[in-house]
Order: sequence, then C-alpha cells, then structure tokens
Amino acid sequence: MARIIVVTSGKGGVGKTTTSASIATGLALKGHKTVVIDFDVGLRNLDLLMGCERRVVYDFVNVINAEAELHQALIRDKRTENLAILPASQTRDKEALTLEGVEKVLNQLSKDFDFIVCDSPAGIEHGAMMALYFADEAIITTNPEVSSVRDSDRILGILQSRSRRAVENLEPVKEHLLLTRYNPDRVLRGEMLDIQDVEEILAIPLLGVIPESTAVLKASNQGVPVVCNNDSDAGQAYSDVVARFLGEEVPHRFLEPPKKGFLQRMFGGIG
Amino acid sequence: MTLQLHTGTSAAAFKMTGGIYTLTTLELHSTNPAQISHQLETMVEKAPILFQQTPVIIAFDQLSPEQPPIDLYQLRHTLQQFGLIFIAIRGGQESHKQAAMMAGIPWLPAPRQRSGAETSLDGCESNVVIMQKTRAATSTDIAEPVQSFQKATLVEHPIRSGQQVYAEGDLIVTGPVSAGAELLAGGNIHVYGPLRGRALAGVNGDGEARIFCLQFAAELISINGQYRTLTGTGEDEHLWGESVIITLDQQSLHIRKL
Repeated sequence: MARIIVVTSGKGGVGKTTTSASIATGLALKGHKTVVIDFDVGLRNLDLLMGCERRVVYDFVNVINAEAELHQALIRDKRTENLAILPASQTRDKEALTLEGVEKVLNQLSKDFDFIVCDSPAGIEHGAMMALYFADEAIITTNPEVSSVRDSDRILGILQSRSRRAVENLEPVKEHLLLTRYNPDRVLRGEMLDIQDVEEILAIPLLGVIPESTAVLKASNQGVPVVCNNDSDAGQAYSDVVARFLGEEVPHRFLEPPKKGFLQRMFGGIG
Repeated sequence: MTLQLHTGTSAAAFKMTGGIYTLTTLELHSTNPAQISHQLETMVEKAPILFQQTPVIIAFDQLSPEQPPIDLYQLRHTLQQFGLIFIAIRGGQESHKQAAMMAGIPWLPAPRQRSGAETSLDGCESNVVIMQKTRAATSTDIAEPVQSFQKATLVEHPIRSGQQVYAEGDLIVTGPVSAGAELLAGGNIHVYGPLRGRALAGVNGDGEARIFCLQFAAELISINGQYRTLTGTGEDEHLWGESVIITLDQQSLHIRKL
C-alpha cells in the first residue's frame, strides 16, 4: 500500500507546487517509487515545475472519466526513473473530480507506487477537499505570516473533521509543518513571524524550514525541481526535509541569517 | 446573544429583550384524555415537586393522523390540575393550527429533521464539529426536568480556525483554541491551553456560567448573551497570556487573573 501525502495550505502562493515537486523528486531520488498528482484542475502548474509540460497528452480528468488508461496519462520523469507525474487538465474545472473517480485512480496507483504525493489547489473548496480526502499524511505548507498561518490552521481543522480518516474514525491524518519562504533577516527585523510563533499557533511537529531563495524562482522557470539544485540553500533544505520525512534525524539548517563577510559588513552588502 | 431594544428615553416604561429558554415539551402519542390524565398522575406520584407552574409545549408532530381530534380547552384544564401551564402548541395538522388560533394559544412550527453527521463534501462551510448529546426520542413517560444533570463535553484535540464546538452543558478543552474557532456551551467553558478564538458560555440563558482559561488571548467572550471583543491592548493588556476567570456580574463581564 502506498502512503498518500497531501501538500496543502489553504492559502495560495505559499509554495505547495514547489514543495510537491521537490518532495516527490526527493523521495524518488532516494529510491522510492513515487507519483505526484496535480489536483489543481484548470490551473495546471505542476508539469511546468517538473519540466514536462510538452509531454502532457492525457490527464487526471481523462483517467477519471475513463477516456484514457492510467498508464497513458502518467508521465515518466526524465531525471529519475522512480518518479511519475499525473498532470491536471487545463481545460476542465475542479467539479470534474469526484470522490469515486479519485479513489479509483489512487487505488490503482497504490499497487505500483510507494508514495503518492497530492498537490492540492489553494482554498478549502471542492478541489482542495478532493486532494486531502484520502490522505494518510499531510504536509502543511505555511509562510511565516499571519494570514498564511490562519489558513493553515483552517485546513488542519478540515483534515481533522472531513478527511476520510476522520469520517471513518481511523487513526488521524499525520500532520507535518513545512515553513517556506523563511527569511531569518526579516524575522530579526520583526517583519516575519519566527518559527516558535508558528509552531505555537499550529501545534504540529515541524518537518522543515525552507529559506526564501532566488534558487526557487529560477528552478521553477527552468522546470527543474529545486531539490535537484544541491548548491542552493533551498535545494539542500528540501533534501533535509525528504530525509526527515523518511525518518532520518537531520538537524534544521538555514534558521539564522547567513554570516556576512568582512567587506559586506563594512559596506552593508545585500543580505 | 441577547437582543436589546432601548427606547431612547431614560424613563422608559419597559425594555424589550429576547432570550432563549429551555422548555418542557409534551409529545402527544394519543389524544385519549383519560390516558393522558392517568400518565400525568403516575408521573406526579413519582416526582411530586417536578411540576409547579411548569410551562409546557404540546407537540403534535409525532401524533398519528388516525388519532381522534383533541379538545384543547379540556387538555389545558387537565394539565393545569397537575401543575403544568400549557403555553403553546407545536406542529401537527392544519386543524391543530386553527384550533390553537381559536383558543388564543401560540402555534410553533415543528422542528426540521436534523440530519446526522455532516459528511457531505459539497460546500465546505459546514466544517462544523457539533458535539451534542443526541437525545433519544423523548416519550411522555420520561419526564424532562427543566434543570437536568448534564454531562460535560471533553475535547482533547486542538480546535482550529473555522471549527465550532457546542456543548449543552460544560465544555472542557485540553488543546489550544485557535483564532477563528468558536466554543459554545450551555454551561461553563474550561480551556487548558491558549484561548485565541471565541468563547460563549451560558448560551441557553445561564448568567452564572463562567469561562476559565490558562492562556487568555480571546477574540470574543460572552456569558448569557453579554459579550465583549478584545484586542489585548489598553485595559486588557495586563491579562493577555494570563490564566483568567471570566464572570458575568450586574450585566457586565469581569475578567480577573486566576
């Protein structure tokens, strides 16, 4: 049985798709057979971040509607053989997803994969509900600012009360906090919430902290998940997150502002 | 929440307020006067002090249409003999509604059938966790005292933004209550953690209800309809993050450190 992981946040633009792409790729690089599904029907983005947008022929909705076989819609990743992508449809809307349809596809994928990563759309409506309903674990992607934290709290409430595990009275969905776009300089200046503030409000275990990084935008535009960029801070932070997710003990990094060189200190270089 | 209409002048003859009260409902299953009278007799024998000027509502919604019509005047008289004051009728046929109108008795619509646990996925507004003791269909042989013992509701997980928890009696929460979450209780509210959301105690008209919490940072507090919003600045600042008890006294809310 595959572990079904939903990457969700409530709020948009916090880094759900970036996280889905990097975690799925990271798990595959560690040798686990992984599939990542784009639940953002109508606003298809995951394929862009994975660099496979020109290879999309059939999509998730086609499979649900039995217009295509699952193996026709799955795209094999070019970088890692253990990874497959199930893209969203760009021409449909989220109502095309049904619980029965999603369940059928997940059951089929469960036979062949170790991990199923569900990239949730923003919001708490139908699309987000479909993405989280069958989840075993949830990665709550949160930016260190109050509205993002509030929305994450709302999504946690929904996971507790409306997911399959809640409805069927099973063991609750395992929750992980992933703090993204963390900028230690701005935290020191009081412009951002610090890790303790967010942890205290959400009261779930911290899986990792991804520093705000120019490498993320660059990676998105190039269609290469940032986890593949081992030279960047964000890439290394995502590698740590994947290792931690798999049960390894890895200390948190990038929580303090980078040490500035002598010249930078003299001339107040860019932080 | 209590609605208050002030007339504006200081020497107003009255003040109109609204409120929610718990009333005993007598759900009729038979219209036979002798049978009703006999059952009331046995109940009064068992609990002589139960009925003293007790207002009751007569519910017709569970009554089968085959039953012969009932004489409301006679029923009122019978109930009065046993210390029950008949104040309104609920549900039933159109004929019951008309009979009530003729007799000058208020008529109330039958409550809508409450659906079970809300598990539908359509429309996420209904992310409401209602923890309410579902009462078995009350039959007339179980007297429902106005002030009955109510078991406290215990919640051991965090209450998140957008969630609402209702308890008929006391509500005890051992996890944090997030901003945007709402606690409602007929009795007291105890929060063994930070209270960042809303807490409304004594919602069924209990002015004696209290709110307790270990880390006070509430958005709104209310007891018996008297409410206050809080910002954590000015006069509330010294209470912020403290363990507090909130009481209602002389129509105003008092917050003090525990």
